[in-house]
Amino acid sequence: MKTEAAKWANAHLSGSPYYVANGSEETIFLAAATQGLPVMLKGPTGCGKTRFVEAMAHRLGRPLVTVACHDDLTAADLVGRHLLKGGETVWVDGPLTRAVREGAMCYLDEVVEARQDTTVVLHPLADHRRELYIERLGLSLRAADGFMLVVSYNPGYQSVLKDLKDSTRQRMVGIDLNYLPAAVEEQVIVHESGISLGMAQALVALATAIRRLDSDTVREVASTRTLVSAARLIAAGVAPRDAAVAAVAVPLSDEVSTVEGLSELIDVFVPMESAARSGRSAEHLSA
Amino acid sequence: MTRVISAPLRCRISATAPEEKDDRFARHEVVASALAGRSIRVAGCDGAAYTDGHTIFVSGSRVRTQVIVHGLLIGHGSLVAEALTGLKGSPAHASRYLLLEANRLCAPGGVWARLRDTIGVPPNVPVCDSTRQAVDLAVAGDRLPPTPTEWGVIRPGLLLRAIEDGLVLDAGGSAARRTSVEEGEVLDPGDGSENLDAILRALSLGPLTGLGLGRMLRKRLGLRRRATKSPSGGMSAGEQIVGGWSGQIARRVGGSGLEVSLRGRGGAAVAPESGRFRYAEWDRVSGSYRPRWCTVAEVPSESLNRPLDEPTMSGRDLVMRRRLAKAGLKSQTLLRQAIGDDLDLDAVIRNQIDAASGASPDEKVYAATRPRQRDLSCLVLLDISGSGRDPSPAGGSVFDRQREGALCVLDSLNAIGARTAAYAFRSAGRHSVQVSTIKGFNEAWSNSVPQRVHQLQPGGYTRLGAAIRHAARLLAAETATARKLLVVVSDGFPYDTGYEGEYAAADSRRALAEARHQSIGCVCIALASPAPDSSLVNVFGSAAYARVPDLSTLRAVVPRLFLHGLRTSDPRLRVSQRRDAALRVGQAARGGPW
Repeated sequence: MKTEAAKWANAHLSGSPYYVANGSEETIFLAAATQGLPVMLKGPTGCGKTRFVEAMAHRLGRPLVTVACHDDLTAADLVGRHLLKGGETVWVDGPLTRAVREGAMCYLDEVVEARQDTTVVLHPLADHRRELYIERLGLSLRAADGFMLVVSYNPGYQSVLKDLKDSTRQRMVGIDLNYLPAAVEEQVIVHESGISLGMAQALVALATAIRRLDSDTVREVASTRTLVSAARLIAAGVAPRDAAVAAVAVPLSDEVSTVEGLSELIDVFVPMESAARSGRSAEHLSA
Repeated sequence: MTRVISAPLRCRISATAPEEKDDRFARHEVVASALAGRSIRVAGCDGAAYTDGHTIFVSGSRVRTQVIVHGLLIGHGSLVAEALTGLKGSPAHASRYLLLEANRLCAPGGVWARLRDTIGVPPNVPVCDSTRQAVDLAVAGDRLPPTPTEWGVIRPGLLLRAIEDGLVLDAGGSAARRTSVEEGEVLDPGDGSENLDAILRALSLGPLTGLGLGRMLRKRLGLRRRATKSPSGGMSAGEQIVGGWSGQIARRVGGSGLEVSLRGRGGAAVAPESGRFRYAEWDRVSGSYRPRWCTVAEVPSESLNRPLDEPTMSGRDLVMRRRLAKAGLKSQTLLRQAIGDDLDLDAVIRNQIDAASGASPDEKVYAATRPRQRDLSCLVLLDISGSGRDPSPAGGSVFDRQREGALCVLDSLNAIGARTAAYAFRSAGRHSVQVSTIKGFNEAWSNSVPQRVHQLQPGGYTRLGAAIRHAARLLAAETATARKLLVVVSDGFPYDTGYEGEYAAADSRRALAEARHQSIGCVCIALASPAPDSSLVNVFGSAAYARVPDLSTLRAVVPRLFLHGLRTSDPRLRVSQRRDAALRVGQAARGGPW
């Protein structure tokens, strides 16, 4: 059932998740955590929202419960439900209830996707009460000390009809995340994939150019995630140009002309061979 | 709302014929646009490469290099009036400036450092801190390496003229351009622009479309070049109304197009008239919007009608209704189902109580989520232009077939429970796009709806873009369902005064794309249209469209057509706004005091 969407992230994370702070987001997040305030993360696709939450949970030493929200996510999916087991109904906690009981960090990814009635469940949890009302059990559960609510959404991605309620928003501490400055993004790519700094610089210059395109050409821009994917393909032995086309250009658009244009952009920035770091471009040689 | 409008009118006279878009350089346009931070075209030319601020004209084999060099200069504030003024009149200075700026923008350690090798920056070029310093150094006599000839040239005079005319926005103005599309702004009448425009239109009909006529106009009518010289290009739409030269849309090549600006005698403050809306129009040649270009008037349906003389059609089509029945459904949870994803707890408990007390238990204990609830608004936009009078191969006129199809679709959508509206449109020049209500969103279905459709008379022209923009506005303003659909029933021949061919097709395409960006799905039906498929693609772009000879074929294609149209209206596909990060990079790299 839908509770499968929740996972105990820490269980499969070996080391500390790699995260480079860019501004005051760490300070604010950690302060909010000590004060028991819920946090709302805003930022474009693939800018590192989920990674940030993982890193913070690791830093605070708290378990992390992640719920990917979707259209049909109901309050029962978060809170829990009765199941039929051997002729008896048994109450099973939802991911939110588990986090509340155990003092975990509960991360609701793309929270605007969830139905509006779902977010209302969060209200008493998100303000000074820190309580979860479980209607079906007639129970009010006080959140354990370590419990922290984190929600994220991408302001450019959701429908006008699916905005967060003001009453929900005002209960949260807002943190705006954006794409990293070039130098930091290069560092991240090198760390995540193990490619050379020169190649990472090429990929970041490419992304910087794509992010300057207006939205008539591409709907979304190249995220840090796509750059890391491209870098990992390169690390696995794919020619840099092919890797960038596969991980950056093709996912961005379905229109043939746009993909061709992006490929040309890739030719400008990304060397043909891994070794040829500062070698002259093919065009230059032929001219 | 009262507002004083000072209305400098601008018209465009040119001796050159409109050129077709050159597709050879399409892939380079993405590179140019990315580096420039706004939409830039790339076209071929003879001689040295250059740019006019809109288009980068390239030549020879080093197209990539030329696109990079000129794209960078456009995107980082190098081609602003302050810099260009100092370079005017000396090709040598302009050439040195080109070298210094390209070198500055891809300085080692900067964002674009990788481009140095690609474009081949010569060694030992001093790195300037700002545009101003580059101008000073370019004009000064210091020794510099020669600028690579394949980079092309800067043409300060050409660029300055374009900036002065407000045709080119320099780097800082690109954001302003994006917001220049206005949504249905209410018109303040009484600016006198209609009259002036009529005079200009009359004059344009003669063969004298050249420099001489421009001078004559300026002299005779006391017209002068527009004085706006704001750095953002002075395109702020609230201040001015831009008049159009009808018929010919000229591409500005090498300064052969002449820009004449006319100042109208506007200024009367008049209260807005209800039911009139202004919309921008896309100009494919300049790659920008013409703000407040078209006026759409909502006219009472009677004024377009003819008296009722024949029995009306009902539009009832059971086949079509069945085929459309799946469109626009929202999921709904159904309780007490025999099969379902979740247990229906109340039913389970009842089941257990029944079993425990010896009664035969009801086995329907599941809750299922199924698409049941209708969540769809639909606006049918019917083209009633005069071209529909042509006879249709399926009998009657093209227009008869079109209104029959439109009514069928409208009736079927209404019957399946969608919120529906239908509007007819025609035009007579950009100031008179008429839209008449066949059925409003808040109006219940009645016999008068098919009657109104039947009474429609074809006439006038088709300014498709403005009609689509108005329909999209109505859909956005008057409906609140998650799924919205615009159904355009037309012959696929947009045509009006100063609105034809490639220009009209590009504007229609653009208007449909704008609607889709507002999460409005678009379905275009070319019923009994003689237009070839290639021209329909041109007009309807990537919107779902179908060319059908008659109603029975329409029935067959309707399910797929509508599902495709609705897919493109997925609320999650909304366009994200311009990225702040990108802007920050642009500002950081621009540098300099300007």
